[in-house]
Amino acid sequence: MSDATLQLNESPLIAETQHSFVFFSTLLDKPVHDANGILVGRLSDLAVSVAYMFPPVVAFVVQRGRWEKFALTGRWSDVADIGGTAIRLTVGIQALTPSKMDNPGEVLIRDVLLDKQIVDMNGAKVVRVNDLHFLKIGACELRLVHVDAGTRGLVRRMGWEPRLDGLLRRVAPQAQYLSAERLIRWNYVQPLSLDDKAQSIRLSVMQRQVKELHPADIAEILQDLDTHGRATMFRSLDPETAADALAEVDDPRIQTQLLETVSQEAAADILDEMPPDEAADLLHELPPETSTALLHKMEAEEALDVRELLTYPPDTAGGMMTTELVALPADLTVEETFGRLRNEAPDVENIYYLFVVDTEHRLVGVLNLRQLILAQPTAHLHAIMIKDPARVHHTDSRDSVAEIVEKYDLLALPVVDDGDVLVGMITVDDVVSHIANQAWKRKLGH
Amino acid sequence: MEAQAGALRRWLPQRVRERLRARLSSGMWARVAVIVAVIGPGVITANVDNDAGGITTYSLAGARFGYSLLWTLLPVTVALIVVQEMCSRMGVVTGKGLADLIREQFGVRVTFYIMVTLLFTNLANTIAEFAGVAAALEIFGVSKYVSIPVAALFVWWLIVYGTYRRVENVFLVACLFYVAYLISGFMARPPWGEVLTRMVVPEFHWRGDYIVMLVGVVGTTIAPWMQFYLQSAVVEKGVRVSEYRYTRYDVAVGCVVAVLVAMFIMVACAATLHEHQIPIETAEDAAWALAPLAGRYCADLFAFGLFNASLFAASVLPLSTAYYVCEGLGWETGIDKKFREAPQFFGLYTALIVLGSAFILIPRFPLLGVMYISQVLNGVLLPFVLIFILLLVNRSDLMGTYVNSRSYNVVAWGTSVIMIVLTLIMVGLLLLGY
Repeated sequence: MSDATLQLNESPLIAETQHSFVFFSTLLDKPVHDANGILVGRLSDLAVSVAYMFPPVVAFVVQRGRWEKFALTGRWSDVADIGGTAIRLTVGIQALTPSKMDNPGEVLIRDVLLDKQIVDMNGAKVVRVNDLHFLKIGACELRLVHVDAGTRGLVRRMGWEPRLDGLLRRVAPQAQYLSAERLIRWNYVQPLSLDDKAQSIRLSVMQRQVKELHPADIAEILQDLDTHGRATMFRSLDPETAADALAEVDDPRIQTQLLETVSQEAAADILDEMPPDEAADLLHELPPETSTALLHKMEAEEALDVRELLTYPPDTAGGMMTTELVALPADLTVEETFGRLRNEAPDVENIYYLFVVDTEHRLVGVLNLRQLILAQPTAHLHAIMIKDPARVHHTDSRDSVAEIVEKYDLLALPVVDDGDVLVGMITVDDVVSHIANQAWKRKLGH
Repeated sequence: MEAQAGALRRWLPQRVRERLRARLSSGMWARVAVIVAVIGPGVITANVDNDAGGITTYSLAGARFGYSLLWTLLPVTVALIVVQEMCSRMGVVTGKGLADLIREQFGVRVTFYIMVTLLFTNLANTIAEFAGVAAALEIFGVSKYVSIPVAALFVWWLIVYGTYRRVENVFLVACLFYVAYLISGFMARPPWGEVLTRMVVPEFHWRGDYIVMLVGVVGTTIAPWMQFYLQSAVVEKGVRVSEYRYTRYDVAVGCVVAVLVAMFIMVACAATLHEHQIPIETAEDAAWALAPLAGRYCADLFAFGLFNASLFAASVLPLSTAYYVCEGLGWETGIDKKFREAPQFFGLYTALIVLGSAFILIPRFPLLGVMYISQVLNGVLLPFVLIFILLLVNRSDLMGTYVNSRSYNVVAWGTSVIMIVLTLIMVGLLLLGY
């Protein structure tokens, strides 16, 4: 918490004015008096404008009536003071609107944040909101700065904070609890129950934070969330990030579920961004009509690769491989090869292994990037390549692929057809995930 | 040339596969595939439902009150189906567990008190499961001072080392044991005419012990913790709204099976124990209900069934309790986490197992008594949990068009009211000393 708050203190926006911090729980249910001192009701919610980095409170909702409750809404600018035992307004009760507000870009924080799950983009995990932390500038300007996900927030909501703190200070002054605030800065908070309009505003504010997360972290967040949160979060990702994250999700049921939460156009864009072997694996899991439709909407070149991969059963070498690879003729020089790589390789996932083929596209050799870099620029590939490398047939089983990769310590393994024609390659990460899956399945007993 | 031939060969299987796929997707097989993917939570829940407390309560009901509680089973079946269907529907539509929904809709305070109450009741249920283990193994001559520490460690190990999933199937298969009650129930030749009449004609006795038993029977059949467990299981299964109707069958089948088992335990006990005026004082006495089938091996058979049921529920109950208490209070959960990452979760889970088994080790601890009383506690708590379920499932902002129909509300509210009234009568009669 400390450095987050410190940074905020130094912000020029609030440098000159007096400020302090207020928790939402201390404002909730506070009596509200109008300008004439008449009791309007109790504060039940606050609305913030999410278009700002640190959203200002713009409106409030008062619950009136003991048995037949109804809501009154007022603008926050009509509030005179929040410091005392009651909240005082500068206007009369008749200035309030007798309904809940509904302005685009303004969200009711109790509805969408308090007690709800959010994603902490900084810690890359899903947490539940126990309280909200406002910066108070001057008499009553409030800005949402933190979300409280800690046990202190829970205790505060229960109304036990002062007593428990007092007790602990006496019996265990060193207790971790006393200093352990778990505040998450608002710019790292991704709410999950905003409506679409508010969501898109919020996202444009925090696009950068999403980009900074590792795809594996995003995948883990997605798997931790419930179905709706998952959909919200996934829809908010750009196609490239979504593709990377989707490839990292290991449960195929969740993968397909995620892909079904976006439109077919968006799903096709995401598949375009994925390595063809991953895309093919995913399409295998979908109902045939859906995968056919998606293939039609994908870019022609990507779709062709995926279509070809789809012809192989998923549990064979053909089903594991990718068709994205670098295949070079044997009579190329090292220098020419570098030129080719600069042109072709940006689209290829893995270029550490290069394959050498003859005019019929038959596999004749392999070389790795290290050999290429260390070789004389004028040398021909057939002189430096490893001849007759290890290979698998596309019908070989997953287990034999894993065996060969392990035996020869390969990072990538060429896959050939009956005529020894190079049809693809299997990279070590696909084999590792297979081995890991095997171990996992053994553990779960499937 | 060769490359072309290879390509041709590759095209062929795809054609075949595509046609096969089309066949599969249009026909019955696709439906079967969906059913297999969706089925499970309801049937598993039903089998966990007949745990140590369940077997004990139904046995006691049959032995003490003969056929006079049989009539409750029909209305209880209806209520059970309605309650479980509501929970699984909520799970499918909202994608959230029951504890999550309570927290999100009713706030911290309500959640906290519900969770504390459930924690207490579920601890009582956990003690009952371990009591079942102890009682069953005592029949085999194993001292509880040996069996309980071993069982507690085993349960803890099952979950923490991720072997539970594999063992779950073993538990489920062993649940075929209940068939023994079915056969024994027939072989005891109960007066079927009377059994059938008393199934449908309600009777009521203004006696404290009768009403306690009534509350216990309802409480063990519609156990509150099962509802949390079921909803989470449905959510975890990731059932889509479009596939929901299959979950509905799953739940209904599970409920009917659960109550059928209850009925045959009651009938078997009534036809043997009640008929011969044998009171159940230890678990071994309850085994006589299986004597028509198993003769002198009845005790072994009963012990096996009780052991399986108890261990099954003991594996599920502490874990699911730790899960939903932590979810409701917003603490990190997950078996795959490290202890430091989710201290509350692992702390609760371990504490439930340790406390649950520690009570059993108290000398002369009433094993049978705790199995029975914990179920009465379930019955007392049920209406309150049910009210929260009802408030949630009727909110259109959560459930959209999937809110309760009128008849569902009548049944569910009716159940809550009846259970509250029964609890009040029970407390009243017990206080007056009837």
